[in-house]
Parts: sequence; C-alpha cells; structure tokens
Amino acid sequence: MSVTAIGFVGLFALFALLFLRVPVAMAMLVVGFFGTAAINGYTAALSALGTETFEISVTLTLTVIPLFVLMGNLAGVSGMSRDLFNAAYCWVGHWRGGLASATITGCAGFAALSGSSIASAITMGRVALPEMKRFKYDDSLATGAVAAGGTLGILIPPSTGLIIYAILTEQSIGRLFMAGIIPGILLTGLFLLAIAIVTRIKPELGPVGPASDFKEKIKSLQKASTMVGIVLATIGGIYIGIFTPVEAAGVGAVLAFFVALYRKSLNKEKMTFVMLQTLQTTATVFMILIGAHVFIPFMALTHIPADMVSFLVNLDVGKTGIIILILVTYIFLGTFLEGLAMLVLTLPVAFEVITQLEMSPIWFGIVVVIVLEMGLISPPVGVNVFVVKSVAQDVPMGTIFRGIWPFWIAMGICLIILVAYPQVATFLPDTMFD
Amino acid sequence: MLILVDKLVRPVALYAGGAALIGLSLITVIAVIFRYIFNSPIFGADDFNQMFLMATVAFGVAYSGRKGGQVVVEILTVVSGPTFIRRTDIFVKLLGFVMMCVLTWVLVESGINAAEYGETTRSLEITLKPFFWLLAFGMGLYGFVLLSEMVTLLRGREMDY
Repeated sequence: MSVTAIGFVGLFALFALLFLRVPVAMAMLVVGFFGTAAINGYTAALSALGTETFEISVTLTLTVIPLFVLMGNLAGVSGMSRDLFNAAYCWVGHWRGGLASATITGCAGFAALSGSSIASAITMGRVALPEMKRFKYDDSLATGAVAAGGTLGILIPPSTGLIIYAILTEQSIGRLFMAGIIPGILLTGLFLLAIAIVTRIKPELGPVGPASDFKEKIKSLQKASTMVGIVLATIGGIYIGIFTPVEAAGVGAVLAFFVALYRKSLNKEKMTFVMLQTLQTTATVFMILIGAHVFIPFMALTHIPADMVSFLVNLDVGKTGIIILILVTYIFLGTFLEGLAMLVLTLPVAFEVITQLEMSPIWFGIVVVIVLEMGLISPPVGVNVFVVKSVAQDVPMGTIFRGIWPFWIAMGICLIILVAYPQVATFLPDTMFD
Repeated sequence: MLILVDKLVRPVALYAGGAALIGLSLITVIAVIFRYIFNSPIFGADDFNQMFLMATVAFGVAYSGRKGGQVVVEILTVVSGPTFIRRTDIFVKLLGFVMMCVLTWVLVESGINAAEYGETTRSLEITLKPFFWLLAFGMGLYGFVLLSEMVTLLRGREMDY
C-alpha cells in the first residue's frame, strides 16, 4: 500500500473514531501511532509516541495554559464577573435590549480574564440570565446573547484557542494576544449593534430597564476596577514588554488569587473547585496537543497535506478566492466538528497555504479563531449552546439556536472586515514589536 | 466500582496536582520578582517550571478523563439511540485503555533509557527518569479509569461523571 493510501485510510479511521465518540486526543493518538507504525515500523512509532508526549508535557511556553486558566477560574469565583455585569448594566441597561448588551459587555470583560468560551458563557450566564428573565426578556435574545458573548472568551486575550494556534504553527503567543484585542472590541461592538437592530425591529424582545444615576455608574466602575487592574497588569504587561506571556499568566493568577482572598470569596469548597477545574481543563488541552503532535507527523509522512496545499495554491481563483474557500470550509466543518479538533486537523494544510500565499500568519490566527467562534454557536453541535442550555434548562434548544442568528451574522461581518482590512488584526502586534 | 476510582483519582488531582499548580504559579512569580526587583534570575527556575508543569498534566489527566473532560465530537448522540451508544462507548473505553497501556509502557521504558544514557534537565542536571515515570503514572491512572468505566458499562450500570 502506498503512503498516500495509508494516509487516506488513516483519515477515514480518524473520522470514524470521532463519529463513534472517541475523544479527539485519543483518536489522534491511535491513528497517529498505528499510521506511523504502518509507514515506518513499530519502533519508530513507539519512539515518536514517547518523545512527543514527554516533549509537550515539559514545553515551557505551554505554562501559560494552566496559569491563565487558573486566573480565569479565580476571577469566576471571586465575584468579578458580577461586578463586570453590574457595571455594564449601569451604563447601558436603560437602552432597549440593555441587559443583553450588558451581558455582551460583561462577557467581553470576563474574556480578558478567562481564555475559555465555555467558562465565559457559564459564568456570565449564571449572572445575566436570571436578570433578563426578571425583566421579561425574550428567551431567544437572552440565551443567544450569553452563548454568543461567551465565544469572545477565545478571541479576546488571554485565549486558549490562540495559544493552541501559536503552538501548532510556532507563532508568538504575545503577538497573537495583541492581534486579538482590536478584533475582539470590533466583534463586541458588532454584537451590540446586532442587539440594537433586533430590539428596534421587535422592541418586545428586550424591554428597557431602569436608568442608573451618575453616582451609581461611577460606583459600579470602581467595583469593576480590580478586574481592569489585572487585565492592565497582564495583557498590558505583555504589550509594553515587561512580561513574557508565561510571566503575565503567573502574575495574573497570583493577583486574581489575592483579589479573591481580599474579597473573602475563597473558602475550601471554592478553592477545591478552582483547582480541579484548572487541572481538568489543562489536562484536556495537553492531551489534545499530545495527540496532535503524534497525528500531524504521521500526516506529513503520507504527503497528503503537501498535495492538498499545492492543489489549493494552484487554484485559479486568486488569493481572496482561496481565503474565502478556506473560510467556507471552516464554517462548514464548524457545524459538526469541535473547535480544537478542527484546528488541529486543518492547520497542517490551511496554515501552509497561508504561508505560501505570503499572508500574515498572525492575521490568519485571528480569522481562524473567529470561525471557531461561529462553530461554537452553530447548529447542530454548537458547544456554547449546550452550555447555555445547562444554565437555562427550561429554554428549548431551538429557541437558543433562533437567538444566535443575529450574532452569527455579526461574526460573518467581522470576518469580511478582517479579510478586507487585515490591519485590524495586525496593527497592534506590529506597533508592539516592529 | 467507579466510586472507588473517584476516591483515588480525585485526591491525586486535588492534592498532588494542586500542589504542582501552586508550585508552578509561585515559581513563575518568584522568578519574575527576582529578575526585575533583585536583578538576579533564579538559577534552574525553568527546570522547576518544567517539573511542575509535567506534574500538573500527569496528576490531572485521569481526573479530566473521569469527569468527561476530554473533548468529544457529539454527532452520534444526535443520530443514534442510547443502546447503540452504550455499545460504542465500551469499544471507546477499550481502545483508550489499550492506547494508555502502550503509552505507559513506552514512558516507563523511556525513563529507564534516560537514566542509562544520562539524560538530564538543562540547568540543574536532574535525571529525566522520574519525569518520564511521573508521566507514565498519570497515563497509567487514566488507563485504569477507562478500564473501570468499561467494566461498569459491561455490567450494564449507569455511568455518572
């Protein structure tokens, strides 16, 4: 059997295993290991398995994952998410759909502390959904805002999605973090615009809430200032070059711990929760990276990625045409594939195409993460929708999916802007390092 | 059976993994303080970081697996019934158990080889053997979790996370 044929058998086996609910990391480990064994023999396959597992587990740059996850979890239990929501509500709650807008703004703020979209959706959902119910918001708008707002967690730095992209493509985590800031703010703005349009067309979806006076607004900002301080220390520290991403993550985690301690929001139960959640997320991400580092070299041995790259690069549709083709493929895959799995499986081809087309890999990282965000809320397996369903159990899935469409369209518009004006993503990292 | 597994896996993650995580955070911040405030980087800080990072992963992986934390593509649950899923889950657990056995064995062997060929960390020159074995322990424990879950499914009992 030729190596290419082995490669196709491997790909088929991978998708079959994923369909059978084999964890993504395990599926890649199994296919990568046996595929390498089929091409280079069992000695080489065993050697690759041991070496890659060890190397990933001691990669210093990956220290950012447990530390930023720890920071996000500490921020979640310390009540900073509620402060963020309250501050946002004081400023925009009197708008039509103001509570939904406050949810989006709160999610964006929390995303600057947490790199996980699921954590953002759960944390903000628990705070915002009861409030929106109290003010008789339509379920579709309320749950849609939480599901979509949560996705900002993997775009606004620190972001686990960007860290994994950086590791898989050997790009700078710091540059990618900086590149996520302006698109993150842009997407937040587009989400707010989507709410404004939806509630203008159907005002009953998001009734106007009571206005806060100026004193309340200032007080709410003061309460949210601790979170702003941590963000400035970490992300600001990376931008001005004081900290490496690893150092920023460590400093952020310790600062979040002291804030939680100062607020007396840490007890044994919460600390146990924070530790176990952090370990769970860390282990999950590391297992995927280990699987990817066994699977991707196998794919390279089969020459399939190289053949696909040369096919795509030689298409007579121009750079923009190829980019659109890649993005449409990602959006399609996002409807049924989990985001990290999609990233790992497609990057060997997509990233190589981008490199050969001489496009910015940093820009592409941001574009890919936005497409992953679309996948997080796309039917039938949008992860964030399931997460919101776990918080709002009385709301049918169909209602939640109906509520995400305005936000999905906003993401599409954000993508178009980024493809038309790549500087939106590359401006900050360029000013930072060049 | 899974209750007993939880009684083993949870404390390993919480105490051993938690200690590693705290160590990782502290060594990172202390290294920053020494570098910027005392202008004197800690010799071997990276070695400690690597040790703590590996321990964080090793002690967390079985707990993550037990809590259903591993990322799964949920298409089958949309198109198929619980009986079929139960059967495929037995296969999934078996496959994972076999893979973890292979990985554990490779890591144990790599540890022995590391000691034999004198492989050490960069700065402090600590032998890599315990690092490999620590990781082997974590992967082996995950394999044990998968085996226990498979047995539970084979006995026709419900699996809770």
